[in-house]
Amino acid sequence: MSLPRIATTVDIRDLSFGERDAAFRNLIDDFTAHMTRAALGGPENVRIRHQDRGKLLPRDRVIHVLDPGSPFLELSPLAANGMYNDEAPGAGLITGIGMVSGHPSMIIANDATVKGGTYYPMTVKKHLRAQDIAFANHLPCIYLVDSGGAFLPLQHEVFPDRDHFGRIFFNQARLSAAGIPQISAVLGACTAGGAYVPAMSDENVIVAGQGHIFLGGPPLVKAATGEEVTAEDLGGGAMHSRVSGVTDHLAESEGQALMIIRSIVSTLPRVTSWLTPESEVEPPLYSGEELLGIVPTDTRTTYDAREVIARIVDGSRFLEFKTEFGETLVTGFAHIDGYQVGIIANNGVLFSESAQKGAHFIEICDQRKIPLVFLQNISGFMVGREYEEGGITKHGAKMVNAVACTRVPKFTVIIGGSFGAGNYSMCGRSYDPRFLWMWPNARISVMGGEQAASVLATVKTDQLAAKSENWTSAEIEAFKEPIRAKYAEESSAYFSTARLWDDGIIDPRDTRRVLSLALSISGLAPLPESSFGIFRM
Amino acid sequence: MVFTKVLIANRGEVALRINATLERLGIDAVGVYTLQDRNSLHVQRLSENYLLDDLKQSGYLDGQQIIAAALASGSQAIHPGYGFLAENAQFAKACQDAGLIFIGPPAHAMTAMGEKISARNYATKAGVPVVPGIGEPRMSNEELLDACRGLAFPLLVKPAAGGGGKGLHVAHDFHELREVLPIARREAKTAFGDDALLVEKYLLHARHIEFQVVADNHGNCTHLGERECSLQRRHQKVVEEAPAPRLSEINREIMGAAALALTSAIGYQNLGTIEFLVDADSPETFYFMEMNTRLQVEHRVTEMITGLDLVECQLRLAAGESLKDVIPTIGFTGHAIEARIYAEDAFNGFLPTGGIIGKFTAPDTSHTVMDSAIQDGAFISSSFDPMLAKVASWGEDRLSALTRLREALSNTVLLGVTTNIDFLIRLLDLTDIEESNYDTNYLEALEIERANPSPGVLAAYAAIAAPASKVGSWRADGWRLNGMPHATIAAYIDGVRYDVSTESGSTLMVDSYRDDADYWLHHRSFGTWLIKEANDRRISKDRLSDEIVSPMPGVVIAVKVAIGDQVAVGDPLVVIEAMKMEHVVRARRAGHVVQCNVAFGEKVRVGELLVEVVEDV
Repeated sequence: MSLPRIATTVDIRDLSFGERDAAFRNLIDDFTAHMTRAALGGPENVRIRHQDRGKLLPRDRVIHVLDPGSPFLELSPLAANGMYNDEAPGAGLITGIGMVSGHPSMIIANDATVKGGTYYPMTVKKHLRAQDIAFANHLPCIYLVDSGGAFLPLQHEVFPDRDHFGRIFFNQARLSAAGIPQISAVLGACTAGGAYVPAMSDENVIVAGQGHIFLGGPPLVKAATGEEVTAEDLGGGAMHSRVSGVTDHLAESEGQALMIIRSIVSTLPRVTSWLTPESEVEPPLYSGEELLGIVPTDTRTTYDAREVIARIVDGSRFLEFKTEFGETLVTGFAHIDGYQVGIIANNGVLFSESAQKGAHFIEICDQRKIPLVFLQNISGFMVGREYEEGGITKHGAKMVNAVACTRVPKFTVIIGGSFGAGNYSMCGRSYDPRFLWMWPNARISVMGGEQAASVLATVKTDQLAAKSENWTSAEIEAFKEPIRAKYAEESSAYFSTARLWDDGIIDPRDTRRVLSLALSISGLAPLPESSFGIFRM
Repeated sequence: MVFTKVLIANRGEVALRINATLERLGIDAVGVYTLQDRNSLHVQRLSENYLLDDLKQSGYLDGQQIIAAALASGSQAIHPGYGFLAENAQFAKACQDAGLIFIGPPAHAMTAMGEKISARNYATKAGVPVVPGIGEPRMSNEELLDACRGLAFPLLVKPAAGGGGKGLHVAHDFHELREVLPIARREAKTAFGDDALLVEKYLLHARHIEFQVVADNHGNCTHLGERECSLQRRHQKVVEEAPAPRLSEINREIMGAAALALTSAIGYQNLGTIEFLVDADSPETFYFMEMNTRLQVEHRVTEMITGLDLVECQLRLAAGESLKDVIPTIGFTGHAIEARIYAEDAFNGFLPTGGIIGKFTAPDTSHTVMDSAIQDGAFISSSFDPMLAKVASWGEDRLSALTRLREALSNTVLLGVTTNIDFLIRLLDLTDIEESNYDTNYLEALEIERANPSPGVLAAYAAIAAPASKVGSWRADGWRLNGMPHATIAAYIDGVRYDVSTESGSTLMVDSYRDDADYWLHHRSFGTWLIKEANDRRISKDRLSDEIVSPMPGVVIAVKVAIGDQVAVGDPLVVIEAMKMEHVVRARRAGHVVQCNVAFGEKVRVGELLVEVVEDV
């Protein structure tokens, strides 16, 4: 029995549609420019030198490991964007999920053309995030190692803390313990801490004459003990494969090493997903292209979230739940590429009813083992005396509780604003969605820039008033402007994605495919028992 | 016919060819095979087969075993096919001694023609011109050099006992001749067991034209016209046709008469071929080259223009029938061309190839015959002739035969082993070939490269390389975030990388075969392609050396190799005794030994270098 179709009210011939479309395409062009720049990796001369040594560029390595034609769901390709003088495109690391010998796998590849593949703070964060995703989705990890270890000038942000460099190996041990295969290919340097990536792997391969593993490289050895030794003798493939036993397979070339990786993965046991898609998949009735003309680039402009849902789900079919209650939250059932999902989307500010409805719907999906998709466009919970009296805080808490405790996979797409406590109830980063993506128009901050400027201006007005002073409206405006500017910069999707607050910016038109890929792997990890905290009634 | 049962002392396509005639004539066929060939098509096709042991030599060369099989099976005759024992006079004699009929000429005629110096002398005696040169038995290198002083270079040095283009050397000056003679002698000795040499004028522009002669046991002989086989590489024929396109009627008559004169002079019987070289610069000048005392590979083209079955002729003549009964009238109709399909990389210096045939489909072109003994799964080894098949097409005239042959080659699917099919198609398309403007050096001097793969090839590759998932989240469409520039599939063809999009709307009818990471594609318009997955890319490096060390402490009890030896993967190198056990240390890669550091009785430590093998690139 098919679900009802969403009837669109969008007229693509409308003038405003065209205007929004043009505005959004500007955003997409900017996004594409960012992506293209980051995809290149390090400076051109370094890339050429890298290839002249007979080494493959990291993106080519990824292609070589993947099955022919496999999609690749890359994670945080714009990590470190705008940071470190923009010297670390993609944070010098490529991570993503692709099909390897028929197994969806997490690939973590150093980019040696970016500062020798050393780990900046964001590199560490990106590496750990990829391992977290692998953990949550039971994905074998394939490390394509070519790294000089920590980026020493920033060692204080890379080495000592809990979620710093050492966590990589902690994770490898725990992933392996959980039965998630850890496989690495040593395609270049594996120095110091980096030596542990292959060493902590279940199975590894090294390229003769090219891959090196040692705790201290030849210069450090000479400094420490005076011993003079070549890199090849100290930690080359032949030595490690024949003498130390640190490596398991010795490859003649990089190409062969990557083939061996594929062979190793082919021997892994097959994991079955508890999620099974429908065999017949109906594409959306309305084209995803239309999203660009529907979604306003200004997060203050409202629009009907159902128009977005209609362009993401199979057949544009959506069985809405509690349509006429708590109308600022849209909830309901649909399919994405055959996978059943529960969708929760904002359609305005959250009220008590909307929050209760959200909590109820999450419980239903948890009960029925249906993954949840959050389409986040939220300026926050309603404020004011009436709403506080109505217990909006406790109702909001119910939804937050439900979001935090549900056992089903959650996926969050920030399609507009993400402000304040609305972020929590709509499964923000702190609520451990399996993945969190942002559209290029998205904004994220504790409140909007205008609100923040107003709040701070009001506070200052009060302070001045206490001293029996006041300020002119021009002074107020001059005070507000830098606050707005700071919020505008720090709330942008690029600022967010650079710092790994999300798993990447996505083109709205890719949303369906991205969710489909994510859903396909989300059922590989077993589902725990259902359990929620106390709902305050 | 007196025969009811005939043994075929051969393998491969010729065994099948002979069997076809025997079957048609209602004569029982008996086959022989060696262990390596136990699954071959000729064994499958024949109902009675005898296993030959490869004792000191290939079983197919072991006349005693073959005669024993013929006697055991109750065969009255042995057909030797071509190659192996077909021109072995001793074998013919042994057959006769065993009371069996050898289907071929009498031993004395084979002896007369088998040795080149003797053949030259017979030809001269019969008044047939021979290539200017020196050919006397038992001449030393110095005597030969002396005798050659009067000759114009370049000269061709040939083993007197040779055949099949083996052991030939060209010397361009006296100095080179002096260098070549000892080498040629050594080769001749190894290959033919006789180091006698013959030195002849090397014709730079010559055409190879041969006459098919046929003689009965009662002194009658005739010829069935000529064939032109000038398209050769390494002195082996590649394309043959009949009649010879540029031979004038008068020359045809003169050469035919010369061929018959020699045939009569030596008392020849059965089927034979007399090969001539015609000076391409002065077509009326021709020289006797040699006589092949057997059925020729290219006999099909003669059959096609005469309508005869030459194997049937051989059988009936051997049974004693007279020529006028076997061939009452001779008429020629149309033109026939044959191309030989070799396991070789013709675009790359005709280097031999090999492997396992993954897919083979013969063409169904009209007026075309394909002789082959290959089948899916057949292993093509270097131990037998590299010819996989031959295709012959007939037409009312030369152009229609040529067109048909090209079509037949285009429709031949042979995947898994690199062959010369696409080269043949390109070759037969050349204006020079269409205009019969070629000589015996044409092919070796020819520089044609294969075209780059067309988008069609790549699209077809993409379609078969990613067949598994066309639907679902992971459908193999190479999807990336934001449609970022990417290769959906990367493939390597002749070391060049091609990024291939999997999205292609059109339908292509291709034959394909996947062998590990190799994809073989065939399409009738764009030929056969071997495409490697990106994953299979081997980054080129210097030759790889493999240092083989002792796996344990022990004593060397055997050293199986010496420096310079060729080794294959798995070949034993050194045997080490340790803990009362013998451990055979084997080669891990094919190549040759560059270091061998141990000797019998030596004690070795664990990890001590035993042998170093360097890969041959």
